[in-house]
Amino acid sequence: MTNTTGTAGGRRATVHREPNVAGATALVRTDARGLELDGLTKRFGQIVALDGLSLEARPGRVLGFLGPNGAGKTTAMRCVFGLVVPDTGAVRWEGRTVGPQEWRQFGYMPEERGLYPQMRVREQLDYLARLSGLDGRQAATSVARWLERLGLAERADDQVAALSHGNQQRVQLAAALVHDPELLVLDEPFAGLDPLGVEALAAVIAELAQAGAAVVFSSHQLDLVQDVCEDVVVIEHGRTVLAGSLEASRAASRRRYVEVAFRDGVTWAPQITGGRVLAADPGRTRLEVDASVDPEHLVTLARRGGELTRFSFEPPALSDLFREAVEG
Amino acid sequence: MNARRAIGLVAWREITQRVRGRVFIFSTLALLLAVLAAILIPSLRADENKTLKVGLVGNTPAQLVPALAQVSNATGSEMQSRRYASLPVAERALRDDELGVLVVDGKQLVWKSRVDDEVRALAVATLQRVDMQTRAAALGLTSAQANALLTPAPISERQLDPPDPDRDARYAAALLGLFTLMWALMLYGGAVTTGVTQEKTSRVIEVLLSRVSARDLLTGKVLGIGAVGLFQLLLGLPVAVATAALVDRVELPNAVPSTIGWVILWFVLGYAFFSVAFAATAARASRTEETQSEQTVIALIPTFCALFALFYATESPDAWPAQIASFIPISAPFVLPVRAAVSDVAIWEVALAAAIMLVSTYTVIRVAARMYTGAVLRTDAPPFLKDVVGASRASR
Repeated sequence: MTNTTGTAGGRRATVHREPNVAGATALVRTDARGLELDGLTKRFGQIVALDGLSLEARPGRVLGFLGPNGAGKTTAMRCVFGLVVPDTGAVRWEGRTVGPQEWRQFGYMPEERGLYPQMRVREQLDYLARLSGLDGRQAATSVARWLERLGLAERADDQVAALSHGNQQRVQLAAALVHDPELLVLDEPFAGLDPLGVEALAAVIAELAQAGAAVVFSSHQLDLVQDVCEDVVVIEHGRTVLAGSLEASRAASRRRYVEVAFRDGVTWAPQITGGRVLAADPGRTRLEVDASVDPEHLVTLARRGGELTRFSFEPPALSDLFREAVEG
Repeated sequence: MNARRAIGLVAWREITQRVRGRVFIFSTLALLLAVLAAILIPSLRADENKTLKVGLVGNTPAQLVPALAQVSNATGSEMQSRRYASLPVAERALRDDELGVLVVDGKQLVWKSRVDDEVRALAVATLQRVDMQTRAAALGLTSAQANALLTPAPISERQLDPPDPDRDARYAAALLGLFTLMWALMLYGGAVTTGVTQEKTSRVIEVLLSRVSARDLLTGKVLGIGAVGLFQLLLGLPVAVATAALVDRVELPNAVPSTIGWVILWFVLGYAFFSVAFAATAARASRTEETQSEQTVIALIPTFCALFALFYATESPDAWPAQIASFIPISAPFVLPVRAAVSDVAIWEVALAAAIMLVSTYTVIRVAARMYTGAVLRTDAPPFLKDVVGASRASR
């Protein structure tokens, strides 16, 4: 049983009440370890969905969970909630194997969105909040707060089926958040949202992480992930191929991307040891080079080609990291 | 949150959502109308039959009309007689339904079409008695002598093994339970199936199962829908009693109260078992159409069992097929109450059959829960049992 310390979001579990042998409870101080998937494997007949997948998601941080279609992201997320039971491996929260007690502290927005279409928004959220363990008064307060926060207060007494697609998405998000979960797992949360919806959801995710929740979400919109996430895990064929902090992963890459712009539309395509030209258009050249290449040396070379208006020497963007990780 | 609270929340949602729906309002009204019709229509017909309309034509003995009136009164009917001048006029009145029967010359009965056996027996006996009295008078006997001669000697009877006086009432209660169970399964078993399928097709199931176990979800659903059904039944009961009292047809509680208790027990056990079986079918199917086709096949099972109980177990309650059927969960709720009504069923048989029902219901809930969780993974084609159970060895 978890005893939460008081925070803005009502979470940040750092103290646990563990029943001891005599049945009494004792306070045990632990480090907030968050979510751990440890060596998960899962086969569906001949198909290997997960092949020793491991990852960690820390409280207070946002983890981007990436991979090509069919890589095993949804299966891994379902394992977190016991919807799929892995053949081997373990799912832990705060060091304990997850079970019904933990599942009710988690929030989940599945890829396949689903709500009761004929049920009113407020009733639906109230029902889900109570199923997650809130009592009547807590549920009512929380539902009102999230309806207000997500701009749904005026539609609270409408049936879900009567709402627009965007508003249904918001209700779906509210359903995942209504019990103030300690871990939030969102499967493709940005899919189908308009730019304003994307912005609002990104703000909510950041706010939740700031309040102490661990947030895991999958997405194919890598620019968005780069803006929102602090940590990233890339999987392919059910295996982890990249994991860590986004900045550290970018910095640790052995590649750098160079972009050079020239004033007079010069076409510059140099031969560089430890690098290659990705694009050489009039006035603009893009290179991929080894991280050991000296940028000063590149600037000197570029100046021989023409007058520079811009020079950048950057670690790979998330999309580049993703491609490197998946393509090898 | 414990399982009981989760089950309670799921059941409460089912109750509140269904009671508010149009289907509930219409089906409740239909049930109440059916109850009223079932009591009022026979009562109206009974009233019609209470008046015996007799036409007389030709040479009718003077004693006939008072004799017919006396017999009619003795059987609780009122008699109206009318004399006609000619046979054609009398027959026209018979054709126009102004008469029930026509007596010609005190010796012939004329019917329009269908012969009313009860009226026929009364009329024939009365006509013969009046005829004998006429012949006795012709022989010079006084009325007292004729009566002394014609009154039949009382024949005493005794039974070596007298039947249970409550047998009919118990049998009626058992049949009522059987038909109520069939009706409830048709209506609410279908509601369970539809509810489960809708949760799958609307994909809300994944949101629910991330919060509550499939077993608790299914149990709550069956209980909630069952409670709505029982509420409708209970709503019908006072209406039935009040209406019956209004039309003087209260003959109900001859049945031993314990029989009614057993009937209710088997109704609840049977409803629970078949509801979870329907839920398991729905958990396996992917779309509403598949559910409907599978449900049609599955609905044949209780229908067959009800027919077996009605036509076999009633006649041969102690034969081995009926005894075995009492311990099989799919047939026990139909066969056992009927057997108990018409024969002697040992208490251990009832206890064992009830225990088997409970264990079977629990097992089916567990299997259905596994199928439900496993079937989340697929909505394209109905999975085979081994697929869904294998795909999710859910311990939830």
